[in-house]
Amino acid sequence: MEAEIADKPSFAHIRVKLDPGDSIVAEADAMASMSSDIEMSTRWNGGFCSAILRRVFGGESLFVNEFTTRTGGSLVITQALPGDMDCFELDGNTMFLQPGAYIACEPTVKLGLGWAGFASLIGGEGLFRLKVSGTGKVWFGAYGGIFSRDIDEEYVIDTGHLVGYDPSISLKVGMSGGIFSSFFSGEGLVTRVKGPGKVYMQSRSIGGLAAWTNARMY
Amino acid sequence: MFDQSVEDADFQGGVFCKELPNGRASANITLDFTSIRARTTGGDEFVLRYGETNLEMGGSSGRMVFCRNADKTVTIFCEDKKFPKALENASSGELRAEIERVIGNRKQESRRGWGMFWIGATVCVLLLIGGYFGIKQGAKAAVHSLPFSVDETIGELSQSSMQDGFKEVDDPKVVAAIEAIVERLEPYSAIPDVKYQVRVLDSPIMNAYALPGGYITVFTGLIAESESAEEVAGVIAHEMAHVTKRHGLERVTGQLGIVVGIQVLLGDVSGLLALGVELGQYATQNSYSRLQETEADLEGARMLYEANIDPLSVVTLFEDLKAEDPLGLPAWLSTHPDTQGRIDRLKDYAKTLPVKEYDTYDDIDWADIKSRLEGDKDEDADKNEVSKQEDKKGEEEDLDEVAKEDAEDS
Repeated sequence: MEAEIADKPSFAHIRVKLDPGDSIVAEADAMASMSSDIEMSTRWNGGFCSAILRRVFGGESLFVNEFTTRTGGSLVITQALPGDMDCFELDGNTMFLQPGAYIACEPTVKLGLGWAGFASLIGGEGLFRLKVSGTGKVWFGAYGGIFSRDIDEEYVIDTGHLVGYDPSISLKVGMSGGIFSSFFSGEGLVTRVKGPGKVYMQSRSIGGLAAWTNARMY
Repeated sequence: MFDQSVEDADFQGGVFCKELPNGRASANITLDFTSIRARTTGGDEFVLRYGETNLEMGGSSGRMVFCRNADKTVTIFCEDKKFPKALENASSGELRAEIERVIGNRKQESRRGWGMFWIGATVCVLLLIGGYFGIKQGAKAAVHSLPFSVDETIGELSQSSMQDGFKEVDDPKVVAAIEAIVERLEPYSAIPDVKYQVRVLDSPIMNAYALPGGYITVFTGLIAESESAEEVAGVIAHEMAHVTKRHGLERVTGQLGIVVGIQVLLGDVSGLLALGVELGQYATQNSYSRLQETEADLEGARMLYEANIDPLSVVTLFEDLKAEDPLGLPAWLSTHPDTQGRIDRLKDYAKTLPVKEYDTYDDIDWADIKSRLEGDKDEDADKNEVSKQEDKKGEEEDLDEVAKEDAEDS
């Protein structure tokens, strides 16, 4: 299987070339086009109960689609948001993705839902996070550009900009500054992450866009 | 080959090191007598001697143990719950103090985190409760600053849309008598210039009620059961006090949703009016709070006293009725709970008032009013009898006609 992320960074999509016998799992509604000889099968996103949990708390869809081919073919996988996509490869390790970030993975990757804690909730990052583990490639997307950072000590990320992180990263919610500057700087609450480990971030936040739009609606 | 590993179990974890591709790799971790060994999936091996290992605890779960060399160029990490104990055993206690320190820090941090969570949750709950009751109480206070025209609108709309099914008594003498009772008390009402509107409804219910704005309804049952105009004046004064104390509006605010509460605080009374009219339509079924009843009793007694009418006149009505039928309480009392307590409070209040000679409604012939109501009933009954007889006669005539037609046809 060959996969290439095209039209980076604004309107990224994955162009996948499947060899005979290959398969790829993608989020429901992620397929934009595909060869006619690729077969698509839909299944619960990791079992009935966990699919419901993932839908309710993880921002993922109830179903995932598995694309397989006996003769080979290609397909294009995309995401709803205008923004970049990236890929990491698991070698038995685990990664956490924020709700909605997951797009596709190889069938050897396990999808699960992990408790993120109240700090994550208060920090605007949700009560749960998607846990990807096993071996294989995972593709994920973001709103705006994606940038990563290897951090060792504490690092501050504004609400809504976190996309994915290593399990070795700890999350704490905190104020961006003092009480006055936290409330009047527009930064409010932030997520303080502590390494060692890698974090993936997005250059735009949907919450920021929604607030900007709402402010101009009236 | 001699296996130096002192712990049976291998641990799954990883290594952070800049020399690795991507700076990190998953690894299999073993513990021997002198060091921690991590073999990555790529086949690289990293060794940290216990003596030069610094420990940290953290990660997403808070349970991940990081073993680092002094210059932090190599970090071996593991999240397995058994790893700290295995590390302590394998190092023959060399790392015990370090492990106790990081676990102690972790527990302290966890306690602090939970402490902050509970403080935050408590503050949020208190703010919510405080906000809810603050708005409710604020709205209740704001009601008294609203113009009396709001009461009048609620009263007028409620009365006009009420479907009580009772016939209004149009005998001018009966209506005039009740109006005279109201007029005598009117100058002493707490809010001046209230335009009291009185109507008498034909019903055996021994009741009277007032809608906001001064819309007073008296049922003929109350008049029939009373011995004097003063007794009815006692009930009417109580109802007038509900009007002037604006209990109807207060009751509406008690039922307000939070949104309407905020609206009232902001000066928008449209929601209040709608709810007021709706509640007003069920005025006879709704009861005021005990506090409001007591307040209306005392205010009514004050008005009676000022108008030179015995403030305990209503008490005699209650007592007469209770003596006649100790269990069957009249409707007016059954919707006004704690009757004996209220009678006692009224008597106590009357004792505090300076003694004076009370007047009576000399201009009202109460016996005549009562007989007129009975007369009305007899008249109605006569009318019904006459109409029944006429119907019967009509039917007989129709039958005769049909018989005649049949005879002609044959």
